[in-house]
Amino acid sequence: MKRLFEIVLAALLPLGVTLAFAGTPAQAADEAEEPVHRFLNPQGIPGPVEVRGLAPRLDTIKGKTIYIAVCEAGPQTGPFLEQYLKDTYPDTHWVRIQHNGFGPTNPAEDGELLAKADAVIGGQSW
Amino acid sequence: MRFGFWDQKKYFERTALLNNVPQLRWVTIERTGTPDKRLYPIVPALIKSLTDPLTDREKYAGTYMPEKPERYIFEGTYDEAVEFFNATERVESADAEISIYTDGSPIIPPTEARVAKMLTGTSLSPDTVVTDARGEPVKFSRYETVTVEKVAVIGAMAGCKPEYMPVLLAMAEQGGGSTNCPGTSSSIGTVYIVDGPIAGEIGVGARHEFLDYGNRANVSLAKAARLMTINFGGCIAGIKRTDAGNPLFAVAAEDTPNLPPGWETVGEEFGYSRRDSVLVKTSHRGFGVNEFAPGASRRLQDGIGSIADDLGVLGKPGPHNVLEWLAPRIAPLKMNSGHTFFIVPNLAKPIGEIFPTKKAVYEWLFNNFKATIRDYQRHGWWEFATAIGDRTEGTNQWGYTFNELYEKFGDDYKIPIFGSRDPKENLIVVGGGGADESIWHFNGGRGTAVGVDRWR
Repeated sequence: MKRLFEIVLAALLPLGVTLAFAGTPAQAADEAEEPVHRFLNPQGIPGPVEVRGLAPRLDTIKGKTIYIAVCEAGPQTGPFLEQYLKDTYPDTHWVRIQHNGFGPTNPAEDGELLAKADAVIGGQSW
Repeated sequence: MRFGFWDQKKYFERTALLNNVPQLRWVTIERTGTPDKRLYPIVPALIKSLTDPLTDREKYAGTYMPEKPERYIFEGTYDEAVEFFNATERVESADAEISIYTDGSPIIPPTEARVAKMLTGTSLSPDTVVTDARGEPVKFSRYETVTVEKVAVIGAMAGCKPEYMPVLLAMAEQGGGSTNCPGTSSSIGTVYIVDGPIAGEIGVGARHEFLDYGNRANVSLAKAARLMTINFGGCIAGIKRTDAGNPLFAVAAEDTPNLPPGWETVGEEFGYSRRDSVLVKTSHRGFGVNEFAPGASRRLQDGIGSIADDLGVLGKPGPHNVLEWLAPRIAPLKMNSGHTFFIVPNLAKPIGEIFPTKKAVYEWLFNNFKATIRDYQRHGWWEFATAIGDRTEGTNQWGYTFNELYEKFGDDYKIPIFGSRDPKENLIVVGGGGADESIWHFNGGRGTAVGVDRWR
């Protein structure tokens, strides 16, 4: 009898465990019916870009020619920056180019900068 | 190296990438403050950027191959997808949680079945790349491209019907809904005009509330344009779009049956015929709703009331030109550019009795309303566009720049307010219902037009 009881208990145990985790029969039915979908990606597709390494850094700014190329709407940044740099670093040759509006975005396309500058400080500030 | 405003870092990163130097060194600067507070403190960082040795990453030269986004972005139940697409991220400059995939309002998650249904609205294959009229792939945020399927995904998310697909693809051809991305959202916004047969086919509203909500085509297409901006080029508010925002974003149609006789449709103004379906995208800088008191314009046409008095036509029934009263009162938000007027049909009718075509109205505006160079110099745009010894702004129909005009004729020289080189820089759209109180006015040009039929 005891053996029969143990056999029945062993047979019913997995069913009990299943019911315990499945919740009520109604809940089990609901969860089983919840479909799973795949949702498409709305994001745009980026393409390849040829990357250039940055220009070599200066070991010192003393004796160098550094251009200041600031895009601004009126002279509220460039002239102040130029004067401050000249006062603070008098051993450097500072040259300011002013571009109004949005200006050129890439100093590397400016012939004067490429020919004459050891370095460029670019900026957009108004 | 470069320096720039702290809230424009993502623009800088995108621009650096597009100029082949994604590792370019960057220093932030505040937007306001005297030089000693905002400018001089960043100088040590500027010098350091020029002198600190390069890292291996900064030295790298070669091909950057970004990962192509997965076709499926999420897998789960519908409710889980709603939560996924409603995800937000903290944006410091907005001081708020900003949506990553939506315009802030919930979307319909794009299942394969929904997108497949959207694709029935066009004969083009899903993997067709969206191109411009020259066949060049359209680039969003100057970088990403999209396919017809991507546009269908957006349409499904926005709640568009499949028959809206040709208009959605035309929107994508025009770069989606952003006024400027990456960039500042500093202009008033975007209005699309759907013109020609497709406007009626898909039910784009042209009468009451045509710039408002309530019409599924108008509202879901506008939502789709915003979703294109956000998803196709990553133009998320506060990330790659910063400023106060664009309050106006609408899709509408012109009330063609109620155009004054002889007046061109919006499509015809851009060189199309009335048989062509056309999408015009306007991006307006400044904003000026001009609403008269109820009945005021009717009183003008009857020769009574204050506006009739102002124009010197008391006792003389019309037709009278209400623009003659309005135009000098429009604040020159940006002189020397095209202006757009949305005029309700009842107000357009008497104007049409005076001017037989829209072109005639534009010529009258261009030739009769001027500002002096002196006024323009005190406008803020002068120093933005012109330079001292550097780049100058091209301007008028005779080919002089502003600096040349100033040097040649002095600062009393008069330049047009409504347009720069050509009266046809202006645009009139007739629509908005049966009242007679409203003219909406914006400046910033007349926009661009593309044909919709090639996307059917």
